[in-house]
Amino acid sequence: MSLEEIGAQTAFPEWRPDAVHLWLEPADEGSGVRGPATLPAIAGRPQIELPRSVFDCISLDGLRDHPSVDPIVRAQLDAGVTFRLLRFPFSLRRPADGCVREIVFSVRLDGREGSGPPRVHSIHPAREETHDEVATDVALQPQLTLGSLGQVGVGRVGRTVTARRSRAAVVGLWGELGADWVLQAPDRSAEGLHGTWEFLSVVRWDGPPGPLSAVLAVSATVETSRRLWTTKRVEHAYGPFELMESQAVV
Amino acid sequence: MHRLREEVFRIHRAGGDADPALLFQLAWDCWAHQLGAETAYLAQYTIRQDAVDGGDRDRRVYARALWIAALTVDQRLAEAAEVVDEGEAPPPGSDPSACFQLHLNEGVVMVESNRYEEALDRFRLADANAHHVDNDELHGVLELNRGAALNSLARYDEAVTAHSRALAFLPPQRHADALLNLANALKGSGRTAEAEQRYHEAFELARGNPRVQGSVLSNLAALLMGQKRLDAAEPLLRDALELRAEAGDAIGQARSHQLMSGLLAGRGDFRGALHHVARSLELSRGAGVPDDPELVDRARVLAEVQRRLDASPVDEAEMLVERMRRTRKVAELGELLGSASREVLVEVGAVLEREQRQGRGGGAIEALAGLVRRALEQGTQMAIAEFTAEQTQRNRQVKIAKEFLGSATWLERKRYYESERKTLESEELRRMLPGLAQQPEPLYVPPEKGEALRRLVEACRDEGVDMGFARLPAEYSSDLIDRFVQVGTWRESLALLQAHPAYLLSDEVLRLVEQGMETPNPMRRSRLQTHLDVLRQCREVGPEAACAAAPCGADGPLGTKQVIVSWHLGHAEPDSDEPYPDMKRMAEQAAAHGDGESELLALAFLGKAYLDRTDGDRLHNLEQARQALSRLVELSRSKILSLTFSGACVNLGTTLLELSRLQPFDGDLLEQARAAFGEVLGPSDIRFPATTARNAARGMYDTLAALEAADPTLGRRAGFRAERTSSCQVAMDSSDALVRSGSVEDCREEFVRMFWACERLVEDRFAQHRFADALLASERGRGRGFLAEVGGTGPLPDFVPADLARREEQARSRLARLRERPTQEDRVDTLVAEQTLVDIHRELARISPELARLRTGDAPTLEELLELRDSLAPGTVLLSWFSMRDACIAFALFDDGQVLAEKSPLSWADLESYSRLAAADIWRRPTSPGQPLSPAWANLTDALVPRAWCPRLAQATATVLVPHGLLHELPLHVLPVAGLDGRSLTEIAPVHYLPGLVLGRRLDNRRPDEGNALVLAHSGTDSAAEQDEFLQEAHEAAALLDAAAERVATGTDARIDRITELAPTLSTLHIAAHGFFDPDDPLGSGLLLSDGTQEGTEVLSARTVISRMRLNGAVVVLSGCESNRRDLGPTDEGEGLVRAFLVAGAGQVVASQWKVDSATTRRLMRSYYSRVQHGTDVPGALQGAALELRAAPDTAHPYYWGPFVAVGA
Repeated sequence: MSLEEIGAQTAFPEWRPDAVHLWLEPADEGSGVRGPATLPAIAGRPQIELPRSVFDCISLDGLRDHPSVDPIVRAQLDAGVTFRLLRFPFSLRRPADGCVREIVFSVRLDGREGSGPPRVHSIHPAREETHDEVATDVALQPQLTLGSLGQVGVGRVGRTVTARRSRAAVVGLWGELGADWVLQAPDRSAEGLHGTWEFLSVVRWDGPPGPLSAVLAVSATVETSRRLWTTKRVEHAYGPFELMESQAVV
Repeated sequence: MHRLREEVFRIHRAGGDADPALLFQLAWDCWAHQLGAETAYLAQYTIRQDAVDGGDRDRRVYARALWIAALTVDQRLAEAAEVVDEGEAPPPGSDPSACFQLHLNEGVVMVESNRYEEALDRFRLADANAHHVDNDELHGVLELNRGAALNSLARYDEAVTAHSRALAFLPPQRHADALLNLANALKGSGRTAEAEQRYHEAFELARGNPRVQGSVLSNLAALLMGQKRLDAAEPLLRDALELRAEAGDAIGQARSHQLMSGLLAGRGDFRGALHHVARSLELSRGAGVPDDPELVDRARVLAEVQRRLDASPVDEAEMLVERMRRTRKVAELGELLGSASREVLVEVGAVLEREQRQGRGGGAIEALAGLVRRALEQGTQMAIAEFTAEQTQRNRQVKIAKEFLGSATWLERKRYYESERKTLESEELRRMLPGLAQQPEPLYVPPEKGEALRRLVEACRDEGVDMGFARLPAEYSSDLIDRFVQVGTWRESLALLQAHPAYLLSDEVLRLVEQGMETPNPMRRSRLQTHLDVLRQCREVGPEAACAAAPCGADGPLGTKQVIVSWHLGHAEPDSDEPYPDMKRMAEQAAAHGDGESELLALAFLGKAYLDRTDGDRLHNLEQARQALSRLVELSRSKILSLTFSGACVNLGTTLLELSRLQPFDGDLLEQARAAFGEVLGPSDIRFPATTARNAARGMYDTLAALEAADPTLGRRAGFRAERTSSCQVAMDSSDALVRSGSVEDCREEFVRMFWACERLVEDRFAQHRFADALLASERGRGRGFLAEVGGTGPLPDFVPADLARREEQARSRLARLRERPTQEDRVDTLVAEQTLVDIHRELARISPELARLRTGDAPTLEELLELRDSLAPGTVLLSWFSMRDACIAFALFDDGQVLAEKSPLSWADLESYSRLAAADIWRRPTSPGQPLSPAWANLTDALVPRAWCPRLAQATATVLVPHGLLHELPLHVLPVAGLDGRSLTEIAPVHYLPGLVLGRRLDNRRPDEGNALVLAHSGTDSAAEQDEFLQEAHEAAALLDAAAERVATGTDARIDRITELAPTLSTLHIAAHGFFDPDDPLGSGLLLSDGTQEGTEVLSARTVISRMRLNGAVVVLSGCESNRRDLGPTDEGEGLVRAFLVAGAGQVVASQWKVDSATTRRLMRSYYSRVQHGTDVPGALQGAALELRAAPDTAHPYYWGPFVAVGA
């Protein structure tokens, strides 16, 4: 069995946007800030759908001897560090009378008191342009980061993610305690942003994986009647929970 | 290739259990893909499986050879040697070819492991099978390695024979290896000249192969060291280390480090020598090579010597002085000073002063003593930067003096003098000249020549350059006539007539000129006729009147002599292969008649016309241009024709560069282009027109880039890098000269265009650890257009003499007029007008250097940097950044003069991403006041504020931030800094932003009247609550500022004209109003007062401020949304409202970076003014107010407390 075959077998199941539903309400900037009022009297609200209670997870313990894993990561694995690949999906429905120009999707991680906290090791994507329907080949680079196929020089363990979504320029930024993805509609067409996105992160524990708490948050910039306005940030907290559906690669 | 690796991974996980034939095939595939580790264990598995299966005998032998080869290539020599040692002889009957390869590889391992006798044994075993191998290359490799072993055993003559054989066997692409080894053998046998020659040949052949090139240079350096040519050896060794590092050649690096250690020890640099020995041992051990006992012993001895020196600062100081005396490069001096403790430096100073008192060493010791004194006072980095500037200046002055004295003819000397008048008449050179007679080359100037120059300078100062030169005695019989005819203006001819009236107006001269007119050259005839007419007129009406009436091509009565050119000859036949037949004929005829002048004119036309021609075959056009321009360069190579010469060189270089792009790579073409551009690029002073020098610099940079693209190892060589840096320096100096002389209409565009040069210069200075110089260079790419605008407009202050102010205004107007109608005929006039403006600014600089720099938007100087450092209050830390396409350099300047710098891989794209995050994470109202900031900021602040600096930052009493490019968009003062335990800079000390490092110094003389405040408030909507916030803020601010009631303008009274009317008298201007920022029109964005709406025309925008406001140092508080936003560009030439206020004369501006909460802003402003009222300065008051908000739970998020920043002086 090739690694691709193994990877495909251990891939995340398809995510369906039917879990937590949240409305993105307008922020009250129009009346409270020292800028011209931008919020129209009646504004549609975008809707966000997030995972119900857990995240999908793939164990990366078996990668120690893979030739594409770099020596530093291998040494960390030898020292007992564990890595898990987590998926953070969400869907966006655009408002009836406007379009979404920008979304900021944030992930904040935490552990349980007393156990070592989870740390973000790398994220995917860090920077990419997505298209209407995209097959992204998720793979592991030598540094055990993730990237699309075009960026991968050696080694490929993972799966192909296909999702329907609008065109967007995505930028991901991260620190040890979380990550933010900023999605921007690349042009001023009426279409704006809508659809499903999946973001991934390799998370690290200094020992065995402990319980995980996380907060997912979304805020957006919406255009209605040629006026831009921003929404409040909505959040949904998860955990602490033991990682479920953990599957080992190879 | 990754599929191959995964296949190997699968086999590896299966414990190597596979068909040996498949394993062996995969091993070869991996070898072909240079996958050393994979090859090694596949070969190993092959042997094991074959042993299990009793498999193929020959395959086992081949697999063993492959295993050894893979380990050797991966530098796992200990393992390789183990395999060789444990290996059995190939079974009888094995394939001779397999045996040959096995023994050859075994021998190579032995050579690499320094076991040379055993290597020779293995090679002999290979010899026994050699007759079955018909691959010449393998024979060549065998001889190559045999030679290496023999060489190491000092059997040099045999080694020479082996290497000569290797050369015969090996294919040409491997000749470099063979030549290198041959050179080593020749060196060993004492034939050093021959060896040196072979090294150079090998180096050329090894282009693009850093491993071999590194080896060649290292061995050549060893040869030179043996001849005591240490100065020549050292740069070669440094290049060798770079090249070998690039090639990943650990053993080679170890060898070069070992040599460097010996070289440095010989110079008394025991610490450096110890470092290199340690590095050599470390690299050898890493490659599995046993320690060389001699090297271990050397390390021990060096450590002991250094320990003793450390215990005795006096001894160490003596050694250091000796090394400083021998050092030729400033960067090395910097390293020397940087490596010494303060205690040692004090002793060094004492030693140097003692030597000075004893009169030893002359000026050099004096300079070094000054350097050490400065290093003790203000830190090494600043001292080195100053010292470098002084040395560069001194060398430049001497070079100019020597070039002047070396000019061949009177007219060349005169032209050179005119272009370098400032230097040649400088007081520094006058003082230096007598001492140069005692200096060795290249500084030596014979005393009689120095004295002649001194007398000439005095004459030129007293009577002007024309008369000073006119009075110089004739050097040959017709010299005075030649001068009279050749000089370019009638003013110069008049000076000659006045200096030598008796001779030049004599019958003899008239006769000689008439004789000269018998020339077949029509242009010369015409020229002589004009001069003959003038001479005759002189005799009738006097020289002044005759010259005044002579035909002139310029505005003045004694302007440029008119030259009539038959431009109709330049007509083109567009569809022909020979589009310029008349001009071509003229060039040919002129060449045939020896008529240089006509040929020159025709060639200049042809060269440029063919270069610019887009019709027809481009290659043909370029070839024609090349021919014409090559000849033109040859003809115009003289200081008299510097304009023609420099233009021809640049055009020739451009032609060659373009030709090289249109054809398969041709190194010769690029080298010729390099030589052509190089003719124009001298030291950083600009002798040729600045535009030409700038174009030459760009051409040179592109040429070097093309050469490096073909051979990346070039970039590893110090000399090559220096040449590239130099072209950047010239490009920037030329660009500055153009801006200074008012020759560019759009300064911003000019600086954006030159950013490439600035970027490279900063990177190079940083790489040389010259941090102060890197910081200064970075300032040349920071808001320079803005800097020029800050001081370049408006009338000069009262203390400038009225006559000078009037002449400056006239010169500026004249230049502007000339630019409006640029024609070929105006070119000289424009040059003259530009020069006039430069001269006026020089006069201004004598009155006030600061004002002159401000007026001209001149590049920041080291003096200004030093002044800035001196002006920093105790405890102030200045953080400055320079963002480049792929990296960002952070600088820290401390109040004691220490300069630190760190580079991080933050690209422009990264900064754009962080800007987007800032917009979402900080600029937007948080869901709750306690909403944490994104963890991603920790990565950014780690890059921008390195942790090593944080202990000092944590003690700062004030922080000055100087962002660059896209960093202006980020709220650096509120971000949690990882190295400060997550605290922001605002929490540590008051923060003050500066748009440019030296801007503060240039704005410093703005002193507002005390106590004159104007407060405006306008809500722009009918909302009562909001109206309250604006009005209440205005009244609170007015009360705290003690402003009279008539100085508070609200509602419809809050108009722009209220500000313009009072602006020059204000000390504080406070505006509370709605603000907006439109990225599509940054200059039209601003604040909305009662006479404006966002769609209206009367917004208080950058445009309005620049055109209508004149302030005199006021503090301007823009209490609205986004008042500190601006258009952004990576090159830092963006504009916005704050910059506009600074250009208009504000001293400081308080403005916001995002949409601010109205109620919180009122609270912040009240707190701010109450602190100002109690005497706190602007940044301090803003910090106090921000921290007060931060302490309140409902405003703890930076969205509330962090939007306002203080920007300015």
